[in-house]
Amino acid sequence: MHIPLIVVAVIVTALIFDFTCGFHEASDAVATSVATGALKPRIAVTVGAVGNLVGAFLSIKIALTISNGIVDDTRITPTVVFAGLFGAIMWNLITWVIGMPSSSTHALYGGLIGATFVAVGGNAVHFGKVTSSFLIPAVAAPLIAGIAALVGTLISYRMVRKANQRVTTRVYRSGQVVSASMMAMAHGTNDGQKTMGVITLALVTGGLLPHNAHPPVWVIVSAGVGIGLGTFFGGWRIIRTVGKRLTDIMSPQGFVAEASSAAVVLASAHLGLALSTTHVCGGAVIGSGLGRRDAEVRWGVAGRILLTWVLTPPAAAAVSGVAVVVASDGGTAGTVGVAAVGVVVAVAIYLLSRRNPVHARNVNDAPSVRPAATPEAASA
Amino acid sequence: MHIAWNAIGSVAAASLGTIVVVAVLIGLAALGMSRYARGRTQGNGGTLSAVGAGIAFLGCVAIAVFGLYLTVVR
Repeated sequence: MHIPLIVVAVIVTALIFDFTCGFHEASDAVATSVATGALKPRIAVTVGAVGNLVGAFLSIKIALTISNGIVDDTRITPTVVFAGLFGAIMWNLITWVIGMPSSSTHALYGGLIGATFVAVGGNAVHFGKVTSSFLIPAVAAPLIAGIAALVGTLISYRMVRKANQRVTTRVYRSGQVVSASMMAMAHGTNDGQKTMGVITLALVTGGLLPHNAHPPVWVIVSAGVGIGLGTFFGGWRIIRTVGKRLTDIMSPQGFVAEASSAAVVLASAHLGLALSTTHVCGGAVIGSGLGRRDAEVRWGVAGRILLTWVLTPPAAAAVSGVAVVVASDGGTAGTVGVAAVGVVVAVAIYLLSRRNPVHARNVNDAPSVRPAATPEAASA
Repeated sequence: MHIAWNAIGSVAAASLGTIVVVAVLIGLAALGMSRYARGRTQGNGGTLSAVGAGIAFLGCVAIAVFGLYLTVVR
């Protein structure tokens, strides 16, 4: 079987995107466990990585939504998919270096839509599908998770208000090991499928798979490994933002935030709704912050996160739009040029990050929203 | 354009229902372990509380496993 070079380039780029997705969204699975001390940072990302890997094998329903859904896969080329991935990766790297938890899902959707719009035209984008499967869930996801976490936190603190705080903390920390594992699997099944969907889309557009094909096994395996590896390396900057800068998280809140997020993501995966785990987790952390009486949500940070969420699709679309012009007009040289620019930008962002390194040893060294002498007891 | 309001509503209802049950179960586990710890300190045993806490905690784990089962078998 002859596999065109551009399809190989798309597959490699998709796996790089998958890695950045795991790296960027490790916070979804482990930020609250790291913040409360339920898991040591290195153990947390290992649990997250294994959970992501396992989760990727659980379902392919969302993969089908992407490969058959938001753009007309009979009219786009692998170059369009390549450019879409390029924009998503660039946005993931930029938001990582500034420590903002943006959605890799929305970056991917934005990139694919932008590249398709520029290369083929607006009529190749299924705007109805974009609205129903993307925009509406984007608004609904953080609200649902936030309300669930708020209610769960209120119930938790109400129930344990007269209990022994030391014992309570230990029980909730044990619960966090389960909830973090669940959330990691939920993330793997939700986000691993997006890479599967994109690689399948590339294989369909390259004529290697029939229209409406399911992802082959090797695609599922490689997507699981890619997102698991990315999670293992840990996007510590974003873990710090979600776990320490947004609100002060105690063990009961951390447990409830993770459990709410896992419930929302798994329920949506069950129904084939491609929700953003980042939005779900962000909403859940804010909800858990609002649910504890003495907790305070840092709304300035929340506002910056919300702005990042809003900017994600158009920013990725714009970068992908430029990339698809260069890659299409320049042929193989254009595609190589785009890839070279990507490497240069990635190296520059890495060097920039070294000025203020955040890693497993200093991830929790961030000022609390409100200093508390006995934080676990403060809410009882 | 079809917006899957039913699916979104189902996700909301399932998530809220699940988190209420999970929060109650883990709360019961914390209360049970707290009573067990107090019982041990006072020499009353409190084994029943510890068993109840264990059952409540296992209930949480069972819900997690059921969630994964639903995702896999649909």
